[in-house]
Amino acid sequence: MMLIPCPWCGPRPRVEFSYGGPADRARPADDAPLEDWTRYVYERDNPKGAARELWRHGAGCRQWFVLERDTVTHAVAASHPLPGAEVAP
Amino acid sequence: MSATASPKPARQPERLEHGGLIDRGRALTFRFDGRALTGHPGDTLASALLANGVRLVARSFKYHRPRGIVGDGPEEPSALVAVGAGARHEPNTRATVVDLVDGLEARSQNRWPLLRWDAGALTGLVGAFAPVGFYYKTFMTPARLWPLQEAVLRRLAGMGSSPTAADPDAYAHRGAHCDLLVVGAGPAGLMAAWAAARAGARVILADERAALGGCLLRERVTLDGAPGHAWVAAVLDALRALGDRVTLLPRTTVTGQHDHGFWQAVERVADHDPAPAPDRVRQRLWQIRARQTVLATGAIERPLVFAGNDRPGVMLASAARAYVNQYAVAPGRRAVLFASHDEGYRTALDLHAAGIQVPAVVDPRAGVRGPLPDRVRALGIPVRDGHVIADTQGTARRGLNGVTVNRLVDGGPDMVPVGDWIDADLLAVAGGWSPTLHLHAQAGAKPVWDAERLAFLPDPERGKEWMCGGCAGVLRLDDALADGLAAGQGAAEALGLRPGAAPPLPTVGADDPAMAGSGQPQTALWAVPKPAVANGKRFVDIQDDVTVEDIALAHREGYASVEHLKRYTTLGMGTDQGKTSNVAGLALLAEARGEPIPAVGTTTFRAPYTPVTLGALAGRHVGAHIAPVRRSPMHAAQAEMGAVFQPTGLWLRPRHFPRDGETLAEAVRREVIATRSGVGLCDVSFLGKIDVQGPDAAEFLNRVYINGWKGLAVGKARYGLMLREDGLAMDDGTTARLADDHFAMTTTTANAVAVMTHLEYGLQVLWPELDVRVVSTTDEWAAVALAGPKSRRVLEEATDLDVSNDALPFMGVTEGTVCGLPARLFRISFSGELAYEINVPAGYGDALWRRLVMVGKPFGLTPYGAEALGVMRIEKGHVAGPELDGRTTPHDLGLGRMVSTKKSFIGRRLLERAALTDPERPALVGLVPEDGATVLAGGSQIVAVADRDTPPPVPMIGHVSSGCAGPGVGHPVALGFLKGGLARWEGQTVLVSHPLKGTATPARVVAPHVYDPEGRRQHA
Amino acid sequence: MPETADPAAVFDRPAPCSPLAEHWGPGRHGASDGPPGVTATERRDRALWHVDAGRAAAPATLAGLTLPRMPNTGTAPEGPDGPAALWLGPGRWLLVLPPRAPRPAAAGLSVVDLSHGRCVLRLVGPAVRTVLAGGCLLDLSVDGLPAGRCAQTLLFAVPVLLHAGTAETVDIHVPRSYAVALWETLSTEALVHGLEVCP
Repeated sequence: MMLIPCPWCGPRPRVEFSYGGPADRARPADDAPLEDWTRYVYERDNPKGAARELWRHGAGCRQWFVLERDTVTHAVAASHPLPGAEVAP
Repeated sequence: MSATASPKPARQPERLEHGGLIDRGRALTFRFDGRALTGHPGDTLASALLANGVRLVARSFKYHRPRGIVGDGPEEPSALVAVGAGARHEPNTRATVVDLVDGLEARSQNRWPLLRWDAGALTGLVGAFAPVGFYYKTFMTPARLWPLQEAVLRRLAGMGSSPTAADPDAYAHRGAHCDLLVVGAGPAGLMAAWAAARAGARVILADERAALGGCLLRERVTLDGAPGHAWVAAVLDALRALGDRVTLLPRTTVTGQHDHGFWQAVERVADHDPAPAPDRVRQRLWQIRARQTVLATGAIERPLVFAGNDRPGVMLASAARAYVNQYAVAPGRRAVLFASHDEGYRTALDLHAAGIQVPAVVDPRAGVRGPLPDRVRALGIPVRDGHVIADTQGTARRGLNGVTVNRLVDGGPDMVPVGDWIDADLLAVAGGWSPTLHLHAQAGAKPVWDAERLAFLPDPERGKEWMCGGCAGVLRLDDALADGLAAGQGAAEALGLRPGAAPPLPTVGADDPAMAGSGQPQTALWAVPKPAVANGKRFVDIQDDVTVEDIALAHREGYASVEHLKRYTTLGMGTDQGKTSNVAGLALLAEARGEPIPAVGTTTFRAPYTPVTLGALAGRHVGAHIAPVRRSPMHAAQAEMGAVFQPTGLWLRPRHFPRDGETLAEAVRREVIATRSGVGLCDVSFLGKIDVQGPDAAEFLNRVYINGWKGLAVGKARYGLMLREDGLAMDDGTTARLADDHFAMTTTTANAVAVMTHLEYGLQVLWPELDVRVVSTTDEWAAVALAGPKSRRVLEEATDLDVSNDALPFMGVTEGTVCGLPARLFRISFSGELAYEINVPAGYGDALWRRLVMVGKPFGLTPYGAEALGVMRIEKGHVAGPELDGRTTPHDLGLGRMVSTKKSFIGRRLLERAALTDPERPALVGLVPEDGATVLAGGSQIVAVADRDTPPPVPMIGHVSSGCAGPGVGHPVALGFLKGGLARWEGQTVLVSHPLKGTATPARVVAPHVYDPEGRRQHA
Repeated sequence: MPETADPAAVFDRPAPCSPLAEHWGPGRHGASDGPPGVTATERRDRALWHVDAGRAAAPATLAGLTLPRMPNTGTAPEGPDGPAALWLGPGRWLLVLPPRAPRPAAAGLSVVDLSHGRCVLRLVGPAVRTVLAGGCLLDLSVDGLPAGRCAQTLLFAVPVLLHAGTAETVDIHVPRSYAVALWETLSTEALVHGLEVCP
């Protein structure tokens, strides 16, 4: 079972987390073309290798964060809080 | 049965008088096929059976051939027995891994009527017609005969029978963290654990066997001048002296490697104990997170393949000497050794030393010279080099009684049928060693074939686990000890620890057979040629009865990939997963393909390494605890009133409160009528409750709901619907405004967690600029619905708040004391009656329920459950889960007017898609059966009356989502969806079809709000 | 028709009842030789306040307690039986206060009473961490969860907050609805070590 480094709680077993889709996606504006919305809601890349993912520490601090993970080896490179969320000094 | 005080040596004819690591001072009694036998602590079931002269223990999978004990450990392919009686019956258990306990009951399996005379053996006669894969090519026509054929095949094939009663034993899990996990407590593993522990590492040392020490318990070796097991005892003492830092786990098999240093292991705490102590678990699943791991898993010996190689009495050479050395058992009295490499000759030395006759050693290599063969010759044992075992003979009952030896011409494939016969009751076979690298390979490592050592070795690219000793191909004892030490020190350094004083390496006796240098290299003889006339078959996989011929056939039929070979022949698919047969199998495939072994490769290695019982995987999560049950604060009070509970997700909700033996339907009818005519009380604590606060709270609600919230007055509640981003309805609920920046949201029971996640996603990911704080308060509040025309009067008795229609109108919210308890009061109705929802802090929930029941008694207050609640909302036309099934939009649900056009909200954009606003979409309708009596079941399919007699496929124009008997309106009522909705179908008749019952009920389409469509009652 | 006296006066304020009421059997259970490995008490004489500062700067102290900034730590200046402030997430804390203490408040803070929403089990004894390891994948050794550390995690599949008071004292905050299910499994796991359930 993967060990996922929550930016606040440190490494925790995967069972405490849930996956929330790819990171770095901006929600389109209301008046954006339908194609943008379709892409946002329905289309996903399926990278083989390095990926940036949104994960949520649901059974822990309940924070969403970005995880850099290799989808083949499961090696975790890093995790980052979302912009605007701070980690304790 | 208790252990007797004195041993009974006369009853164990094959127990050697001296030696072994068993406790001769205590005798254990056990039964095999009803026969009472004795053994000793330290025995396995296999060693105890052999000690009692029991050599026939099983019948094989396909041909029902008589089978005996082949190995001495977890790789055992043959000695599969059933252990335990009744609910504890466990089939297909390897007798070699069952630690003998007093009172053990074991039985042979897969035979009828008797083990020694099995009718199933007749299948061996038709074996020529049932080669591998025969079932893919036969029994095709006539098809009507297949059920009969299948029944016969089922009886003949398969092994063992399952218990039919629930497992009475308890199992548990244990999470553990360590710096270093060492798998295997043989010489290499002990040195590695010792070195790392001395350097300060927290070490877990696990070994699959009951006693730690690995091969040092099974071989005659001297370390520092003393027997190997004495050195083991000293090392274990030293490890224990290091205190809590070291955890020793005997009888614990590490079964799987998972991501990021996570390992699973199964500890056999009290396996097969017929009378376990209370509170004791039978097995424990360890879930270990290790920063570093050393694999010291040793190697598994390969047998050799020749005609008649499956008879009881044919045994792995290392097992033969293990039975002699560790268990003081003579597996035979006259033994021939068939070895293709020098190391196997140690068996001849050990058997001879135990007083067992060794008439010959047979070796396919020509002109054999070397330290070990020479020592064997020096004992007067003839070595027939350049010869092979061509065939064996024996009886079912007694097993092997002799072997036929032929001369090999130039290393094969031709044999000269010399046909020398040698009397023997034991044939020890030594075909080389396969490093046990399963755990390494589970992580995706690719083992590398070493043509010189004739073994798959670990993948040098992998570099994660430290592999040492036999599993790394290091077989000499002194090298293995040093290898383990190096691995332990390497791991300690990788952990950032200073190595400190290294533990001392013991000196292996110079004349120890373990030190004998290698003479000649091993020869690769994957199968002895078949003699012209043979008694036996040449088995490659003894468990699944796969022969050399089967492999050749599979290749001829085009199954040339090793993965296809496995699945077509079932080679390596048994409980032993081919531990003693996979290498020979793929080597023979390579020969058939005319390619080197690396071109064929291995099949994929998967956890678990050995079979794991489901109980161990479940741990404590069985029965009522399979998932944690959530209870309402009023659970006890409701149980006292006879509530019948049903699960809704994790919650236990009262379904109904039957009186005087009522059926469900009768109780629901009574509850609904009593509520609609008087007053009813229902627990609604299960609904999700979320506290939403902050300066931007109203704006946030605007973004998640389809309707607007900024204009909601303080002290008012409003129904809200949330969508997914794709425009489909996700959840609904009522949200109340307690203050300008403070809202109390409710959700459905099923979606409470999902909605909370959804809100946090919005606040953290989408709109971090909004200042809103959310927290789940589902468990903080107990909540009841008090509903019915008399509900206000009951409430007036319970509170001094002004609850008149003016002071607390429909959808109003207030706070105060109810039944003496601090409460929030909401005038909300799900049933369609005049109704209130009363929330109190959960610790007062029990009091609230009991006090309302008391106050309501003069008014005939009736508790009602989830079923009646559901009936009333269907009668009223409120949508719920079956309508919010993820396929419906607000327009479909008749809530199109709620969709705001003035604000942005989740789902708005994609809701505008043409497909989701198409008026032809199925939309919510009400349905009433024409006969006024037939209940329309949810899930029914709706077709046009004109299609009553149309042959299938019949166009479906809609479906029923929820239906009930409608006691509150006097006739059945249903909600459903029809293409074009009310606009197209109101007033018309359709057919509600129930294909499983074969009925088609005419029903009239009506507006969904059948009960009190103007809402007079809830506004009263 | 019942008499209408002042209805609310008919009822006094009862003590809040515990979710474990029917399931709590005081006494010694399981292994009976030697001192109990686990002694269990339900902490009922406490209030729990969920405090959320949003993205604004939170005050340094609240209700006399320093609000811990380091994740998964708690401040308990008077020891395990005194008040405590437990970190839940960035800007969020759980305050454990005496039941009649005033509601904590500070500018910009959202404060929600969760006193009834959680059941707090206190386990004391040499076998506590071993018993918890039977249902938890965290490192619960004294090194992994030292005194003063807390952790939100899953315990026998139930979401909980663990707070280590000392090497042998751990408080488990469990949502009320899960309390019975957790107690049944936890107490079963503890039997082999000897379980003392305090009244």
